Amino acid sequence: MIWHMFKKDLALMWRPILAVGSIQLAFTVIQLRLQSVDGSAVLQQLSQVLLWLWLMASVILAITVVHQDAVPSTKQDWLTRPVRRIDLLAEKLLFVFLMVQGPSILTDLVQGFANGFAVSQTISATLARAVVVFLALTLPALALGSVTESVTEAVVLVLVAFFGVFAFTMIAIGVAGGYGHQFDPTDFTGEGWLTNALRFFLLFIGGGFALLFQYQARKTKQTNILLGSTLLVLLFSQFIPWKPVFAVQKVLSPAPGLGKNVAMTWQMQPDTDGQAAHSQGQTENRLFIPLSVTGAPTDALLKADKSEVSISDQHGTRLYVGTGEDVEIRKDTAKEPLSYKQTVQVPPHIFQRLEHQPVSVNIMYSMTLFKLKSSYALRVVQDGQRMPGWGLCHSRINENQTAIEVSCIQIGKGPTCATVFLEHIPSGDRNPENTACYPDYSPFKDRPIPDVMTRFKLVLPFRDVSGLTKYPVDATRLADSKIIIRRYEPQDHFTRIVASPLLSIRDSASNN
Amino acid sequence: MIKTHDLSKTYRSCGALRALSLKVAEGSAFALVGANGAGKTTLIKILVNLIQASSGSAYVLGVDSRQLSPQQFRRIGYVSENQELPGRLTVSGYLNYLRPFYPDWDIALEREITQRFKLPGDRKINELSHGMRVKMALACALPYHPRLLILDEPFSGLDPLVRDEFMEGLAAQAGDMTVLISSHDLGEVEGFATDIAFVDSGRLLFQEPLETLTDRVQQIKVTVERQSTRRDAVPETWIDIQETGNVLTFVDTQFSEFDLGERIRSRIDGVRDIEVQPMSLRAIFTSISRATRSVQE
Repeated sequence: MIWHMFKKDLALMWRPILAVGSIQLAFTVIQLRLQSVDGSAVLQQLSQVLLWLWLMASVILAITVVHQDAVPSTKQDWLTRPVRRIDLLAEKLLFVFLMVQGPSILTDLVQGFANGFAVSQTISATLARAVVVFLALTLPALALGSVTESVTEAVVLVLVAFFGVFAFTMIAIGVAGGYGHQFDPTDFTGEGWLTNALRFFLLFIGGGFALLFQYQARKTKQTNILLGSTLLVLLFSQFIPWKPVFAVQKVLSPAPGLGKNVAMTWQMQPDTDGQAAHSQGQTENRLFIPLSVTGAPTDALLKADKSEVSISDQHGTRLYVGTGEDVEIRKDTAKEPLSYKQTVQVPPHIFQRLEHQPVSVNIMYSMTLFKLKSSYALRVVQDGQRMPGWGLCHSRINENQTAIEVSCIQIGKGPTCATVFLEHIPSGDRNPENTACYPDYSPFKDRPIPDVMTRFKLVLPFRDVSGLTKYPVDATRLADSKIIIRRYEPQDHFTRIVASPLLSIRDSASNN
Repeated sequence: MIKTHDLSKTYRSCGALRALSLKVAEGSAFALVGANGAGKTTLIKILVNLIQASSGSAYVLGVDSRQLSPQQFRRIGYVSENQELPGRLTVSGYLNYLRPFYPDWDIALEREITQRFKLPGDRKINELSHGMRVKMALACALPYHPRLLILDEPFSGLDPLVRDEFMEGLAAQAGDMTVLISSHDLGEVEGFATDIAFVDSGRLLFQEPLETLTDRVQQIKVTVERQSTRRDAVPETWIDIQETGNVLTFVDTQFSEFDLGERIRSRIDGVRDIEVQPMSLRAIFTSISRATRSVQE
């Protein structure tokens, strides 16, 4: 009977399905066009508009599909028909997956195959994206549809939830002490996927159970409470503590123990007598913490996912607790130790208290060790270079003849950490390296928004029109040069604590 | 076929049904009668598991109404004045959709009913008039020969012609089907029902075969010698007592011809004449409702 009900819904819904599918198709065509037409702002904006339109239309369509046999009603004819409710639920899930998500699944597959990616890679990335979209978009829409009788009612419920979340956030900001406070410690870290995975799990459990319960028992009030509770737990998930998240990430390390010899210490600097330097501004004060790093393997990159800073007075009383700025230390040779200056921003009123007394600085680092995984060499001007683990790239000289532009696409999640530079092959001369790490330690291949493809661009300058910068590899040497890409992969996660001796920030000011 | 025991339904603090116990025998045409808001629809919705009772029990086809499964729904037909059919499907599209759900679906009967009701197969359901939609609902409830047909205020908003067509269509297919029909208008069910139940303010006032009811409830008109004659306390079975000049009328809810004159004279002086008048179902309903309300007040 599932297929029979499916056909009925298709007969009723084919027009909106076609409309939403057309939006998806138009979006994909624009994405493909953007690959060949460089930087068209109009197309970029149009693709953004279409993306949002598709998202909203998909949600409304999923809700409308459920409303074809509304659940909370006491007037719907199907309620007194010999329709197995579990069959109806299965039909709705299947229908929405195939007919609402179907076009996007199809266009993802087409994009993967059209760009020549392997069948298994294309299918796994497409399915991973479909699952994420289902959990984040479709399942909540279905659950919302099951507790409402009309799109208007659903929109009202969404607005109520939106203002509820808004009020909650405002209260949380108020309690935390004002704007700018970051609640989710995993935001913008490679561990963010763990919080998101937890949220998807909550959505799956909350949304799935709500659907099952509503279809079986038709108790709308209780289902609304269940959905409201899920939303509340999701809201509270942004207060997830960092330590357990990082502990889980440690357990999932691909090469646990690889970073066991890495040591991070306070670097005694003879010129500044081991003091921390600082710069003073009107709105912020920066401390520069000198670090010495040893024990990292060669061809590695160390990145701090989080650096929790605490500053204490001579009695051990904590005067300030905050977070340090990004730490990214690359080790290409065997030379040790590596030096690094960790920057810590301190609010002016705290700084004023600190500068008049001896303090000690303690930093707890949650570190990730990246190891060079692969290197690629790409000609300066080349079409369609396929690099396993990196993607499909095209390189060319830009219109101003000042830089090499490398445009790449990868199906699913793209590379997250790499160093790129121009190298003159005969002499070995290199232009300054460009390192970019936007870590995502997720083991999944998903790329949920806007589509299954990751598109990224590298720009490697070789000429400065002002003449101020001279590049070792300039326009005259491009013919014998190659673009070198060094891709790093996260291997190990560990924590290190750096403790400073008692120091005076004020005294060190003259040395800065 | 249907049995409820102490069935109650409360919406917030308002009692829609109050300890209602009812029995519908197999093969009967059972009329559930009561004013608007009496609780008829609530009762029916509980019977078909559209809503759940606050307390008490309801059994339909021998199964707790909360546990009704597709197996039972294959033998239950349900037509309601405000039933929502999938409006964007055509008449034949919806009949085609329903057919596979019922193993006993009789295509010949379906054709006969749609022809009788002149239902246009290619017309979308939401383009049908209210009367046509109600007929459509009946056409969707009969072709599988349900053992129990539940009709909730099916005549609301129907003109007399459509109502007659509906009833004719129903009567033609009734056979040994049990029919439960709710209405606030007694005239609609008078010629059809074999049994009747009066519901008022969520309470069941009584239920019995129509035949015994019309025998049991009679209007008595007593003419006395002069106005304001002595009257002893009247029995509770005399309701809706009215006095106009020297004529006293009342409804005897336990009418019996035996010793009628002596029973009346023992309570009223100067009785000159006693006249017994059979009552229409509508008049019985009005008198009982009025009496019940005056007791409640």
